[in-house]
Amino acid sequence: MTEFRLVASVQIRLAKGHYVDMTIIDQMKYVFLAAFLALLGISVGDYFAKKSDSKAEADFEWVTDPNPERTGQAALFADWTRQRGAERRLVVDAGNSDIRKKLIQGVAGVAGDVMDLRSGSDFALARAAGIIRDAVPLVSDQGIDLKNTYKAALAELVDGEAVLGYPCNVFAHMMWMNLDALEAAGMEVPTSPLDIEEFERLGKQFLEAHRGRPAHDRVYFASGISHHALRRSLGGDFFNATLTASDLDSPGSVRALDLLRKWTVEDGLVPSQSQLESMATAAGGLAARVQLFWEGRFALHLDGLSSAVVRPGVGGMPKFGVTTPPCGDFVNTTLGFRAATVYAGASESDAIGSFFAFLQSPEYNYAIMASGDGLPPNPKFAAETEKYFAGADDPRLSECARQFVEAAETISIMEPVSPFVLPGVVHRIWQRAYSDVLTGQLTVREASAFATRRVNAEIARMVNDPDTAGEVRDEYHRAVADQKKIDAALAAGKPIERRWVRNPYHLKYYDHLGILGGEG
Amino acid sequence: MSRRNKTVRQVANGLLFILPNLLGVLVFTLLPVIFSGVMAFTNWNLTKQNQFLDGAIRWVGVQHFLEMLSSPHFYQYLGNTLYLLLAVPPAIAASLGAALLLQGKLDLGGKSRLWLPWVAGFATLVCAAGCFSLGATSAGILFAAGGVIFGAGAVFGHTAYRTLFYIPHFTSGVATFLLWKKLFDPTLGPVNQMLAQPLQLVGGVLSHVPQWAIWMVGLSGLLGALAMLLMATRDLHRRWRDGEIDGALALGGIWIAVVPPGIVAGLMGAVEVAMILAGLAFIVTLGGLTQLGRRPERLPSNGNGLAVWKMIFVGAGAGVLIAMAGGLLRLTGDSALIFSPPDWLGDPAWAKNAFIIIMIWAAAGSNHMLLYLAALGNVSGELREASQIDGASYWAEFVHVTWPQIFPTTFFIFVTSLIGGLQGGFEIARTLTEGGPAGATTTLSYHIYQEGFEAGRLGYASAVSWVMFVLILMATLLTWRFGKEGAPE
Repeated sequence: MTEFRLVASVQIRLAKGHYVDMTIIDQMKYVFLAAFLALLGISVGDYFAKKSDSKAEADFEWVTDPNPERTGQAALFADWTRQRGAERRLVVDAGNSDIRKKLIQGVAGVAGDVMDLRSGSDFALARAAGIIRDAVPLVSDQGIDLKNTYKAALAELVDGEAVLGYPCNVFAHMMWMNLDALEAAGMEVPTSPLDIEEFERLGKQFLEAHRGRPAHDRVYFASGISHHALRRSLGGDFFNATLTASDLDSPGSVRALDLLRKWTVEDGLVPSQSQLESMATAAGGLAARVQLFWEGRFALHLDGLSSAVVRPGVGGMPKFGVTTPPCGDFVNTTLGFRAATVYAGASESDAIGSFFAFLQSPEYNYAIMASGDGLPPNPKFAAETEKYFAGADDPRLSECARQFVEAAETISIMEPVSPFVLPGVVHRIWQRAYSDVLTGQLTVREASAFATRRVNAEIARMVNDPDTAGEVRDEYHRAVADQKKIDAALAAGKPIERRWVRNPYHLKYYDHLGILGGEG
Repeated sequence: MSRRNKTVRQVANGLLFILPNLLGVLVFTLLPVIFSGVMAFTNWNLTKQNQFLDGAIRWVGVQHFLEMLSSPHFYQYLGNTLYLLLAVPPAIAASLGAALLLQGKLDLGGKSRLWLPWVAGFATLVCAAGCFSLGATSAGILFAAGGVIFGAGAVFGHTAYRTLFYIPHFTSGVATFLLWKKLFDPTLGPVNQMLAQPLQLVGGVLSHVPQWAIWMVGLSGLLGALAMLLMATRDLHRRWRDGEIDGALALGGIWIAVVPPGIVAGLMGAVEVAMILAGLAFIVTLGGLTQLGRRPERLPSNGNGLAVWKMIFVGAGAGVLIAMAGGLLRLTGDSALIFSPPDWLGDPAWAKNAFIIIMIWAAAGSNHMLLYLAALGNVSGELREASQIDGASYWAEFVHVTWPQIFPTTFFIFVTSLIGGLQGGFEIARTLTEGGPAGATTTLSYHIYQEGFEAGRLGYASAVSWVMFVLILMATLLTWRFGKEGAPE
């Protein structure tokens, strides 16, 4: 039997003449009880104190990225709604911008009312998990159309009759050119559009001009390559025309992967990931890459319009220009967005509808343009190039903005997304294949074939999963049937009917080839 | 108060005290573990079953485990996890070495060694000057910092060293990994800057050595590894014959020694070598089983633990020899000339080795060092004095007096390192390489994260986590079965 041996006891005086003996155990019990009550009191006090903070006063919570501009945009929203009769307030949550946090909080029922999601993997994952909902009912009394944005972006935002969000900003990836660095190397300015052969020729010329530089001061011709744009320019893509199977082993895709390998490993035109990190400053990330570009370590830099926000650390801005990413016959680039979406568990608040109307307003769009934070979501304002980088004394910025707008409206295509497999899974498979090729583990053909098998296996897993919705499975089988028609039409040299094609890339590509027929 | 009431009251008091912690363990540990165990056999997927979707969670039996076993990458990730366990013996040795260095006032074997830190400090400063003059600035800075550290120890005593050794332990893991990322930078990192000149020298020397001679050295390494394993097997047989160890360990010890070099050979692409090792181990096992059948088992003495340790170090040593042999045998005429520091984190052949280096560094000044310091403080001074009187050297004193006394601590550290090693690898991989290059640093824990939180497949991720649990349980049980019997009498 356990016995507690008393080490000491004390007499506690409760009142005059009244004492009680307390053992160590009794003393510790009261100490613990006191600590528990103190913690409880602090928690209750904290709860009631926080109830009176801005979060409680706000109409909704906006989960967005940790960009200092968001606070200003929140204040602008409050002003904008005040001018329209009833002030609405939002509170910015920049601490949960990671998609994994949004996903876990979303399924747990505690996500923010309005969540910013990046196009591609993030948007598709949130959509597949059902944590975002149709925003159309919320804007029914606002007099706006949520489809009033760039046509290319609608491919991802629209789901039948539903519109799952509206962009906060849009970015088209183009190649910034450091004209001073090119001139110093005695080179001509790359043309626009930039083709593959010219890219290689100029790249080798640039590196030759810088031969003999020490390893720590090495230069590259381009900071990165858009593998989507390159692959698509050669007729390949992640998926086939109906998004039912992988296209990574098509001749165009294989050639694109081979070019990426050649430019990175053999020619040294583009740095590998570890080489890029080796060049980056302690801050790392995109800002560091832009700085290196302004310094002339890269002659070309792949990015959106927002690169111009990062100014050179020392000295003025070099002469710069913009061209397309290196492409084959089909000139294209990728479009992306950061879209405001409505959490499926959000409260029904007309303030959220006001927010979407605000995103289409001139006040918000001009604010985006003035700060250089990408292209405005409402294309009506995008052409007012004098509004970009307001206050900047460099007229070249407006000219460059015009090229980004033109790219967004004409040659841009969203990143490939299939409803039959998660884009994040496909991206991970492709990254592995790319890594295998760069490190010499697999040849280009082996890696392409392996990636294709893996992606198709993932598609088959999703389609065959009993939990996959019936309509998804039906759509898959319809799409497979249409793919057979497309293959037959291609083989016979006949036009391909537009309604057969689900992949937005293939719609543009077939149109470019002149083989796209009518509705049939 | 009656005795019974008093007992009840005391038990109630005790339960009250531990109730908060008990509730925490139940709610945040036990229940999730049980929940995960059930989910491993269901189709739980965040993109199919949650409060906003209609999907139902169904029982799928062993589907996830079958999928795991048929996945081509699972075995790579399992191999990565096991490979990183090669860090455990040197990590233990590093923490023990640090503790031995820091335990006393530089009084080794009764003779003062106070001049050591001054000499070491001067030597590192000379190296720093050499590095600066050769343009290896980063390496020079490192050496200079080392010189300052040695100097601090000389001035302030071993307390300064203890503090400096322990500081990295309470620095954030991510912060130290980012620092190591810069240290391992292939262009600007001090590690490669220090290696560049010596490797060029070696390359220059090797360029004059005939190809066949290089291959002979490589082959010797391979044969050396084989000889180590054969001698270890013979030693195991002798110990079993003399009754020092039991038959189960005699046979198991062969596999303990063979697995590390087999994994190394397999990961280097020398599958044939791995197969040969496995085949030999199998043959010896069969022979051993035959002998066990013929000869009645004697009662073993307490030699099992030491035999296990010996096999672990033999295995690690053979693994290192095979790695070196493999490197030499792959040298062609051209590569003998070009000896350059590796791209540590960008080359699949070196990424895991970079992780092992970081793990050994982290272990040297970790809690294990503190445990060893405490254990060394409890070593009987009388036994030490007796050994010194008998004329024992420092090494003999360590092997026969110190090591047996600190064995329980070593056993504890080994078990916890094994568990940590099998579970870990996520933080370091996520920070340094994101599981690459080419999946070379994706461990089972990282794979669980990818499948669970990037693809939403929590059922499958739970299944992988339970496979990891079984691995850890088996390793721990084996260690408990054989390892703790090495404690001194």
